[in-house]
Amino acid sequence: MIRKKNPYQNLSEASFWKVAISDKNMFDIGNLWSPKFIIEPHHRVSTFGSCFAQYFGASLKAHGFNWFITEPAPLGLSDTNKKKFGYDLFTCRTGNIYTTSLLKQWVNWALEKSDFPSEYWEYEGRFYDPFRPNIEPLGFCSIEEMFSSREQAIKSFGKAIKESDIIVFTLGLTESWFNKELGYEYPMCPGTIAGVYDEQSHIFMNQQFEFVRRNLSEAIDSIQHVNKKARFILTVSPVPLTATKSESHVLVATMESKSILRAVAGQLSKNRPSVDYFPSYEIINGTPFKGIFFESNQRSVSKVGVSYVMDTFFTSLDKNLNVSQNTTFHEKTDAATNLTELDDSMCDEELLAAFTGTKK
Amino acid sequence: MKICIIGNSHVGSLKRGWDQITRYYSNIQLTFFAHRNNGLADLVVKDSTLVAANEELEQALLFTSSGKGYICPNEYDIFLLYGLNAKAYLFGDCFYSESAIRSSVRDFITVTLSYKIFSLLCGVTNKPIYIGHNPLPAAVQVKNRKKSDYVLGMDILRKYSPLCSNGYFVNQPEDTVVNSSLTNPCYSLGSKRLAIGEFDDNEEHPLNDNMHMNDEFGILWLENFFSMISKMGEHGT
Repeated sequence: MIRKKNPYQNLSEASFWKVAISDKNMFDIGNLWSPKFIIEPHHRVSTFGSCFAQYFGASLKAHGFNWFITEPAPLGLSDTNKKKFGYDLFTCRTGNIYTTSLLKQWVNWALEKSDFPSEYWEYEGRFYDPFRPNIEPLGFCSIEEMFSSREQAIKSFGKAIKESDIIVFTLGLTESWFNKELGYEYPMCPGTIAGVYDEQSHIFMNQQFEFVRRNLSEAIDSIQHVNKKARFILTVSPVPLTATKSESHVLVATMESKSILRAVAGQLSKNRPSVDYFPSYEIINGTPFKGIFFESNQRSVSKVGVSYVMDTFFTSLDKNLNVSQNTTFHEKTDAATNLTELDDSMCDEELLAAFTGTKK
Repeated sequence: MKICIIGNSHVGSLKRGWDQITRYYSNIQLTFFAHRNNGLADLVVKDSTLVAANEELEQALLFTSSGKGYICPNEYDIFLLYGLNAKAYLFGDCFYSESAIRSSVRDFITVTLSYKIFSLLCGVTNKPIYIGHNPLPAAVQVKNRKKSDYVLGMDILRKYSPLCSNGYFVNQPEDTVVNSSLTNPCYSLGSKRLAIGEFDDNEEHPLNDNMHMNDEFGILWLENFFSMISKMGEHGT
């Protein structure tokens, strides 16, 4: 039989499951990412997003990149206490930004497109920030201190989006909680970490594709309006939901949520030259990897998994961009060693697990 | 007044400075106990006395104190821990919560050799123990005479200090501070190594050493310190 010419004939190995996946040991699967743009060591790289985003910052620093910290910890604070107080987890002390709408909310506050709310939560004489409920381990000592701290974080966030060359944003959730009357969003459902849940004031929203896409798109537009050089690397957190408020089983809710986030990230990276997508989600969740990168709870990503994701990130930069350096980024330091400092990421959402089975 | 000065290489400038001004202070007697780098980490408490846990340290103590191989708290009125990795606490314009500052000050102090020796001393004496930090690094050039970050930082250090009640921090003379948080480079010119009885005693530090200060700095530092303890004595603190 004579084969006719067809569009698949000249594709690379990476386009075919058999040679790219089936014929390979899982650890030899490569070429998962072809970076769109160069990250030079002097580029200021900011990191924000869900829990998984925390690994990017530490890895960037460990590999000799310029991880842009705009809200530094006070002098001398130990690594353990930095983590407790939310320093050096992200570029500034935003806490986890799980949704694209939360990202847009932070952007709007920083660019003074909207005022930040006056809401605060009080518990036993200490004060908690509804937008960073876990940022201060024992709460703030006064309302004034809480607002000053929030203002500092917003100012630092503004500096990050105005001065970064690259912004890495990890999309985490579609399930979200809003103030019904005033329209602003909380990173966590009130009453879980702090605050009091009130059915009359708080409303749940499981965000759909268009809502997620529009918010992310608008956030990027706003940032690029004040920072024309800003480029973005989007990732999707591979970490499943701790709990779902949707009517679905948590597994089904997870797949729906991650699929929406993945689709949004994909669409924006396809349509915008300044936006790239890095496949953290695929590396951890892809069937060829058989779930080996998860801990026994099938939710937490193991240190090995995190290292594998980050090695893929830096190896891809090396291979695809021919960066002129004496050593390759992934050889610079032992990233795995540095990542052990992030033994457990600071993840507010994980606290929802504490509510497992409380329904009578 | 008998003052016991315990420190590392930075003590060199105080010692040489003291040699030049001793004659003006007949009422003050200084005894130095010093070793380079972290050599004093091997001090241990034995029978309410600080002794060397190894021979090399003992030799350094014997040499720097002119004959005493141990530190007996009963023999002194006050103590000064100088250098020993204690650094100046600097404070910029970022907002920090009180809890974060308190934690950072504690973390900042407790990792130093200075704090380790402070803790040993606290266990054997209630006499005043002063802590002088490593000199601020020397500036390349003087841009201004501001000292705000330094003064504010040291005030915060005092406010949130975890030291027990007989511990006091000493600022370096404010006249030596430039560019908010650096030392005027004129005080690092010609700085010399601490003498501990080795071949390179009192050798000049390399020109690019901006961490060690010279004899003139040592004189200013001690004069400032004597003035401070005199005032504290007047006020009964």
